[in-house]
Amino acid sequence: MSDALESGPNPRLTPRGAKTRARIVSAAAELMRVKGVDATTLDDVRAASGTSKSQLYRHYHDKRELVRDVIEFTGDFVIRREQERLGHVSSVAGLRRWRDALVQANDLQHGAYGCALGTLAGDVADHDALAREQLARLFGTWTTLISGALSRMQERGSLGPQVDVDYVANGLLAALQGGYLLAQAAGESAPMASALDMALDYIDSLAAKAA
Amino acid sequence: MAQIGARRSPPTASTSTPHDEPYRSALCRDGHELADVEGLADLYRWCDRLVDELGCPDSAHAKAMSPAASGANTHEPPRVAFLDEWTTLVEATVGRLQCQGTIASTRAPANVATALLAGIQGGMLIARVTRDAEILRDAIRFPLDQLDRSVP
Repeated sequence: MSDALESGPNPRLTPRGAKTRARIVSAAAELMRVKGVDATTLDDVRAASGTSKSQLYRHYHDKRELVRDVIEFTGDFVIRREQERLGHVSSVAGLRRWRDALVQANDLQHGAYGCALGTLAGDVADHDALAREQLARLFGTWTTLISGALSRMQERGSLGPQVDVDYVANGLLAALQGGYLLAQAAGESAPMASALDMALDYIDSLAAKAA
Repeated sequence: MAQIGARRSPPTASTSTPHDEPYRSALCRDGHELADVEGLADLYRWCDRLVDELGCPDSAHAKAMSPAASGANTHEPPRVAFLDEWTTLVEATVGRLQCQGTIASTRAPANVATALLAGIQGGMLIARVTRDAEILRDAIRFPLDQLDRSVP
């Protein structure tokens, strides 16, 4: 997680400065996840991170810079999590466990906050080209993790060679992201579970064909 | 004495507002087009037209289905009503095609409609970030692939 912080605009951070900066970013990430980017002010971030005005402004001159670091921080968290869960998956059962973990976590809050990364994407994609590119890279990595699992299924022969794994991975990530949004609107994760289940049943049927 | 606890009636979906009109006509068009759908190929073609529609930010579909709309106006009554009715239209069409035996009947029509809407919203989100419109097209076609009768 610290890559983004170390390579941030202020390379001469003291250890204490780096700590403060990390505290600001993680408080901002939590606020933006819950309230959305637009509704989160620098004053909110200052209060939530317990920093003074001068401390905050020493690190961030405007919200845009802070949002970019929040994307890096959140992206890092999500990609690590996905890497952990998908990195060794090579079967439909493995994909179902991945689905279960996501749906269960989303269920805890009745789907209220959606995907941390998806929320940021919805909020900033049209306002900041650099932030958009950061998000595009992160979604690209996420898709690659999914297609990696599908490729391993292909290598094991449980998925036919004719299956376009990139296409299916895109479809699966879209189903997941759309599922998060529908769950948010419905106040429960049922639509997300149902969209993912249909996609996984389909992948299962492709696997059955290959067997 | 002041009426403590008197409830104001909340705005309902049936309250007509000027925002309703584009949604109404979009639903009408979808209803007509879906009535003509006779098989999976027609459904793909209908979805391809939908992708074009979603590419116009001012279209009713884009306004209602855009992930950005899921923020502040998630519960805006005309939008919610539009999505409900749109989902019902899709569900009815899938049910009809299943009855006719043209598509696989392994999936519940309501789940198909949900999956299609999820594909649309997720696809719009990712396409917006990646600036790759083909991702949206793929995201919408993917749930339709799952209806193919040749897939067991």
